[in-house]
Amino acid sequence: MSPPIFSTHLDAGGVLHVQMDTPGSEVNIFSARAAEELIELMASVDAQTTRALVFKSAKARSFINGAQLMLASAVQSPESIFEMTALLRRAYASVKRCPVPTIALVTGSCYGCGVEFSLNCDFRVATDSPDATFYMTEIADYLNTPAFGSTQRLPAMMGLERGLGFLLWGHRLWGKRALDHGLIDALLPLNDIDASLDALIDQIQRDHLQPHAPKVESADDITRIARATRALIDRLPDDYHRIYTRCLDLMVFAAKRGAHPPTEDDFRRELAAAGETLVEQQAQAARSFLYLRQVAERVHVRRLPARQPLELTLRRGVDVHADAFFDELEARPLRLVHYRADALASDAPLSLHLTPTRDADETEAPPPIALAMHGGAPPTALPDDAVFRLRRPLPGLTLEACERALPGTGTRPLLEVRLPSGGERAPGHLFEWLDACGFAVIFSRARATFLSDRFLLATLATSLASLRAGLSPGDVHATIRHMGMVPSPLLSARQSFTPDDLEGALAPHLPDTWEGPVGQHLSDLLDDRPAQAGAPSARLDAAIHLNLLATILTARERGELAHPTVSDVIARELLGYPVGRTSLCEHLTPARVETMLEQVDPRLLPTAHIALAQAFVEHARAFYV
Amino acid sequence: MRASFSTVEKAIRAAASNPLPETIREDHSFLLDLGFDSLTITVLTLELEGYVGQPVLLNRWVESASNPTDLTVGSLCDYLDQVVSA
Repeated sequence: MSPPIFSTHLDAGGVLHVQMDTPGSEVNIFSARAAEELIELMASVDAQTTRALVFKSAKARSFINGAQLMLASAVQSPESIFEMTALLRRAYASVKRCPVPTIALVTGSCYGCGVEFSLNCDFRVATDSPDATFYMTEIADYLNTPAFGSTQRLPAMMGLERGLGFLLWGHRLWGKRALDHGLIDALLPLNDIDASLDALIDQIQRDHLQPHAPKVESADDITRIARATRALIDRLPDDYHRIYTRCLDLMVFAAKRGAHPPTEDDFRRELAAAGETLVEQQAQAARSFLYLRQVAERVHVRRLPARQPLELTLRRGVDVHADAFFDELEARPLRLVHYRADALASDAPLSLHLTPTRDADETEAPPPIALAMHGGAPPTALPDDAVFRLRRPLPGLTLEACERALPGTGTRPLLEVRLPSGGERAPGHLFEWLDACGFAVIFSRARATFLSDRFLLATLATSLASLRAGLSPGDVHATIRHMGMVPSPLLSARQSFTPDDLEGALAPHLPDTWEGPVGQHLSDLLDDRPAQAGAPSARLDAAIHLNLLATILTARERGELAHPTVSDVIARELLGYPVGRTSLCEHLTPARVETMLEQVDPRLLPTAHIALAQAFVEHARAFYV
Repeated sequence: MRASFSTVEKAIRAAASNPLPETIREDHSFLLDLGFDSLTITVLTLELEGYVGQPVLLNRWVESASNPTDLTVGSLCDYLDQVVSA
């Protein structure tokens, strides 16, 4: 029999600590069993002996990471969502009705239904760290509207604009920003959670800390925000408009309600929308992508290790990109991770080192790692050596920028870790740390050039070739938008590079017939003045896909790419490839590639890439079954 | 006993993060009897790839069930048999 998911402890001060620990899982999942246990637990809360109730997690990395994803897949008709979610809703309601103040103490990731669980608590407090990141997965990752109350609660808590940023645009919130946005009520320091929590509960008991007053916005402000949001929705793929607009309408309705709390009808309307959106094809495709992402993560690191005390040390002034990387991460404090600049000897092999500290468990301490940081223009000749090499293919895209992107689709800055030659395994602790920092991490065994750079350059090169073949910059941007790539890789490249940065790196990706420098065409493409409206081109769409296919096939052939799911993650996080259209590799079936070969203008990509695509069609074997 | 069952059983034992029954049967539910969740299903995916010969997306099998508790060892064997023979 599995151990219980919840355990309780009533302390001497009358505070009931309720700890969640999903057995055998790295994260807490609010399953049906968790709901049953919680309902029973809440029914036993005695207001005579309990002065407050704190929900916490036994898992260092996770508060609650959502409901059982398989629950979403089981919604076969819109109407079935009412029955499928009834138990979870009863559990959440039991928290809402608790006769004593309830506090969600968030020290790990809090996603989707986990956020909605916390909204049923009277107070939300979190550690001041990206470890305790709040993120609404429903729209950004799964393309379905939420089911458990967030559209009706968040506008009053955060204001409409910030609520939309959080729910619609997938802005990840942690620390001061989560506090300032009204999502949480207090921040606790990483190094003294228990004492700070005690002090907070005292404040609550003395009425010195009240729940946020509902934000009431004027009709004019609501109209203005709604109009601006619709303009942003227009920049998304056409088939996303309905779901985003549906979610916007639900939240505008809630904002117009002002200080009045949501009614059962309001929650029912939200649930009905969730049921309808869950069964749509794009939502199913998006859930499929989640599996692919998880597979990509587990290809190299089957199980995430518990974090050990780590130190990132830097020899400042040697490598400007390492300095910038260090500074960015130092501003985002993580549990057990310390940062020390100017702490390396002058003969240290590289300027960045990740090392377990003396507090680390001897039996589980990971080995120290020297890291080479590659920023700036795409490197064209990586050494073949025993060094972990990190690459941000979009150097100008900071973690913070991603957390504020408009429109945002929940993407994170991609970080490629090129594993050393010699077959060394991917270090789990390196992945865990970088993932906790906020990056989308992939491992590769890339040789001369980074995989992620190749994906971006393949997209840019094809776009450039199309300009020479007669398309306008407006046509190119329209094609990228029609393909559903949000954020646009062209706009992302503009923020990270000058034409000079890319000139040399683009050459292998350009068609054989290309002559002369790329400068002017590249300047036109990366011009930050809005391009005149153009029309999407099926030939360019086909060429970009075929160039990416060739990139994947070549990398697989050379053993640089361990699994096609890794390329799907690159496409999603770096190029904005839409989760609602299935993944890139799912899309590239032999039948579709054959059609693309019929459509493509061969002037847009290298001859060898066309040959690779033809061989792929002849082989007639999809990436996945 | 079909070949796919033997492979699935080995993959289950390699992927599981909760204690398993001593004997795994085809009517065992992944959720209720074997304690699997979406994360362990992805690890199962990787364990099964050797048998199928290429990456297999188990989410398609998951979505075929009207209730997650219907995802049994037997239904996975059926799915794999179908995929391999296609």
